[in-house]
Order: sequence, then structure tokens, then C-alpha cells
Amino acid sequence: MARLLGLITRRLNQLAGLLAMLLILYIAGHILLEIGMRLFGASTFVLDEFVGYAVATLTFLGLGYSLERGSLIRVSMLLDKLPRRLHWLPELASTLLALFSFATLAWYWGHNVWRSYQRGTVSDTLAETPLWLPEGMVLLGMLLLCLTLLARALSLAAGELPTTAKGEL
Amino acid sequence: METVLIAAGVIGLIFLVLGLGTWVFAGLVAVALGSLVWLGDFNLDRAGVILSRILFRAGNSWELSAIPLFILMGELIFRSDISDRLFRGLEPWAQKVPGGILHTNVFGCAIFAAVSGSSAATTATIGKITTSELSRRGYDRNLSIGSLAGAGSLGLLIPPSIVMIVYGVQAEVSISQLFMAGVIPGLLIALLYSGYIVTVALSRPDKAPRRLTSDVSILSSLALLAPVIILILLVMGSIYSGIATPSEAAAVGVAATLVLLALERQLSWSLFKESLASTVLNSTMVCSILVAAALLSTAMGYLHLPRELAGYIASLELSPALLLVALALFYIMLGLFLDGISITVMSLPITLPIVIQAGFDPIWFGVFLVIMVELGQITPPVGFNLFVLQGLTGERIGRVAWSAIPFFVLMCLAAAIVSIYPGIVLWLPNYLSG
Repeated sequence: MARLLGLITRRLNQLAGLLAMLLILYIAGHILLEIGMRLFGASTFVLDEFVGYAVATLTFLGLGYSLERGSLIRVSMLLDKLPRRLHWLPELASTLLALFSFATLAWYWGHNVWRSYQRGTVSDTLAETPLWLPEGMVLLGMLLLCLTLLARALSLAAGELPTTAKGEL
Repeated sequence: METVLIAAGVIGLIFLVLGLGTWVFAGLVAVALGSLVWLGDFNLDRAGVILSRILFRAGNSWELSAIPLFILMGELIFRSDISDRLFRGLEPWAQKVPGGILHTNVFGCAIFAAVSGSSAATTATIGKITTSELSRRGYDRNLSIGSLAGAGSLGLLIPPSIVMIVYGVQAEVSISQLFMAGVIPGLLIALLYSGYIVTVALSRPDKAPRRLTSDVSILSSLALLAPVIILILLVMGSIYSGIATPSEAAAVGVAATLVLLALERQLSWSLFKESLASTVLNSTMVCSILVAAALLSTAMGYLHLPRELAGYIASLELSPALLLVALALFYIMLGLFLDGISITVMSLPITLPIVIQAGFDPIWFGVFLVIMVELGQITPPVGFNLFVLQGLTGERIGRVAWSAIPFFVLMCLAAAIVSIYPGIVLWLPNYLSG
């Protein structure tokens, strides 16, 4: 069960990571297009709005992907000090804490997305984007993160230690 | 009194949660939620509704797009041989100065910093080439590691800079102006480092052998430096001339790098894909911390912490100089345990109002803060430049940190200089924006 969930999550995260890469290309492309059109006095008029959505989606879709690859920063002092056989304790505690926080926020955010969908709320811009779309993408990213954290918690409970790497910047 | 208790509660929660090893972004979200519910008597419903909206609003930001784009540009260059040519191009120049190619560490980093937004990327890119060269030619190991650690952190101060974008978004000041403000202090630090290397080389000749063997002439060195100079001119030029916003300049930078690599037949599918994947990882890390910090700062706002603490500090009537010293100590303390982005986003809701109230310019404070963050990059136990160098050289973290000490002191000196002469920071942005 835990193994299956882990497998599914990894696949989904690969997909999300791919989507995030495409979004980066889209952002670069749209900005370049806008600069090119400016030379001719034209504009797509939606640059700020769409690039904003893309950045939000990219950030949240990338969370599970980055978490799996150990590139999200954490303070590893306690883990460095603790003998390896005790690592599961802080690992499990921090995974559950993150899971609880994001599950809570995803729950309330889900309500908000649903309301936007039902009321057909659109953005206050020229494009009149249905807001549930970008909001829903962020929700999707949060849910995928929760799934990743759940899979991690289960595998920790089963006695497996995920590899930890340090983030960089 | 109550404010102090609440502040202590929030700080305690942060230490507990992050100390446990929780990912910084998730930890900040948990603390925001926890402090609203426990310290602010919000019920979970209200806290959840408020915070989940902030989560979206903070992430949905067009200015943030500069972060993934500048990271992508750095990743592409990191994987190409542009940095290798940068080293060979600087070599004939450096050999004329006492200290020799140790100066390529400093100026290689300073130049690379002008196309890269992060200090880890700068240290790794330049260090990848210079560490082996320097030890092969018999340069003192402490000096080569230390100068690399110190100069690598210039990646944050010399634009483009991820930390500056983060600061600009949070403090609501112009990112372009911040970028301009970082240039002269960055060069100042590079000169201080070079000066130190010259001094050491003259007094202890055994540490820096002089060998005049570069097969590259000054003229052909220019050809080697050309690609990186073109990129700097394109990116920085478009920002400084006011044609492009930082995000637009970043997109231009990405396109120019791709064209350059394609022309030189270096661009391969695997290089492109690896760069993109790495960009997703790094920009998710930065942006998620930024978004999480927006939650924390909202929560602190609801608890009235920033205003009351700023009021409390104001009531102490510290002189501006004393306030700066206190802030510097505070940031160096934080820098021992946290990375730059986390320090910036977590402290700003509290420190910015205090600093503004004391009459400091927010652009100037941005540069001061970045120097503080740079100090944090080279102080153990958590210093990202130290980690990078540990990985590159295989030395113990203690040895790496030890070699960085003189450069730490020099950077403190630079912080003091820009505090005494704020014009060093503000002259260029004021001059260019007329």
C-alpha cells in the first residue's frame, strides 16, 4: 500500500516537474514575445497576469518534485548530531507537521477554488480569466505535496529512511 | 509586556519547528498557522481562510518570474565552458599582480556574479576551475579556499541577485534601483579582498608563488572574456538604461545565453534539460520560502507584532549607529543557522519598520542586509558557500570556515564603510535615475 502510493506519487511528481519546466519556458517566451511586440508598439496585454499565474503554478507544482529530490532547504543540525537509527523520529515529526499544515491550507483553499468555480468568478483584467483555473493549479500543487508528504510518512513509519540532501543557494 | 511574550512565543515556535529539521517553507507555514491559533486566539477556520488566500496572492506575482529566469541563465552558463574561458581570460591580467591567479578567484567571482543571481552558483562555477589549478601551482590552500568563499558570496551583492529580488518584492522598493545600488559596494569588497591577497603575497612569498607562464596574450584574453562580457552588457545594460524590468532582462539573458551556446555548438539537449530541471528545483525552493514568509508576516501583522516591537525599539531611543550594530549582530547570529533567503524573509516584517522609522533609506538597507546575508553564507555551522566548497575541495567544514575568517573580517569592514559613507551605495542609483 505504502509502496504503491510512493510509486504513484513519484510518477505524478515527475509529470508535475515536467510541467514546471515547460512553464519556465513559457514565462521566458511570453516575456520575449512582449518585448518583440513592444518594438512594433503592440502588446499582448496579459503579460503580468499570465506570467503571475505561471509563477504561482510553477512554485506549487514544483514542491513535491523538489521535496522528493531533497532540494528544499532545512536545518540539518539535529539530524547531523543524532545517531542514524534515531533519524526517523524528527523526520517523521517534521513530515507530519508539514502534512498537517498544508492539508489544512489545502482544505480551506479548496473551498475557495470551488466557490470561484461555482460563481464563475473571473479576473479583474482584460483577459477575464476564470479564476478557478490558476487557483485550481495551485490547489493541485498543494494536494500533490500532501500526497508526497503522506507517502514519505508511511515509508518512514515502515522503517525506511529517505535520503536527505541539502538544498543550495 | 504582552507583546514581548507573544514575540518570544513566535521565536520559540520558529526555533522548535526549524530545529526539528522541518523544511523551511513548511516550517514557516506551520508557525504562521500555529501562532495565529495559539497566540492570537483565532479559530482554525479563520486562520485557514486568511492564510490560504495569502498563499495564492504571494505566489501569483509577476515580479517573481525574474527568479526562475536568472537561475536558468546561471544554470546554462554553469554547464557550459564560458566559466572556463573566464578563468583563462583573467589569468594573464592576474599574473601581473602580487598574489597572481588568486585574484582570478576574486574577479572571476565578481564577473560571474554579474550574470548569476546566487552565491552558491558563483562559488561552485568559479571554484570548479580554480581550486585544482591553484593547488597544482602551489598556492596556499587556506588562501585559495578563503578567497573563494568570500568572493563567491559577491553573487548576492553584484546584480542580478536573487536575494535582492526577494528583498525588493517584500520591502516594495524598486528592484532595478537595488541592483544598481549593489554594484559599487560589490566592487569595493572585491578590491578589499584583492588588497588583502596582495598584502599576504608580499609579506609571505611562499604562499603565492609567482610564475609568469600564461600562454594567453592580453589581446587574446579579451576574446576569451567576450562571451561573458556580452551577456553582462545585455542584461545589466538593459536594466540600467531603463529599457527593461529585471524580469525582462532575465528573459533576454536566457535567450542570449541560448543563442551564444548554440552558435558555439555547446548547446545539447541534455545540457538544456538538466539546466531546466535544476532551475525548477532551485526556484521552487526560493519562491516557496518567499510565499511561506508572506504567511508568517501576515500572521505577525494580525498579532500586531511588527508595529509594537518597532514602537518598543523606538522607545529605547538608540542612536542610528547603535541600532545598526545591534541589527548587524542580530543578522550575524541568524546567519549562523539559516540561509540568506530565510533570513531576509523572516526578519524583514520586524526590522524594516524599525529601520525606516530610524530614517534609513530602504535601498541602502537592502544592500546592508545583503552584506549581512553574505556574512551568513561563510559562517558555520550553516553557511552555503562553505558547503559548496566542502563539496568541491573535500576539506572538512571546519578547515573551510577557518580559511574564510580573514574574508569575513574584511566583509564586516565593508559593512562598516557603507554604513559610515552611505553615498557609496546610493550614488549610482541616484545618478542613473536622475
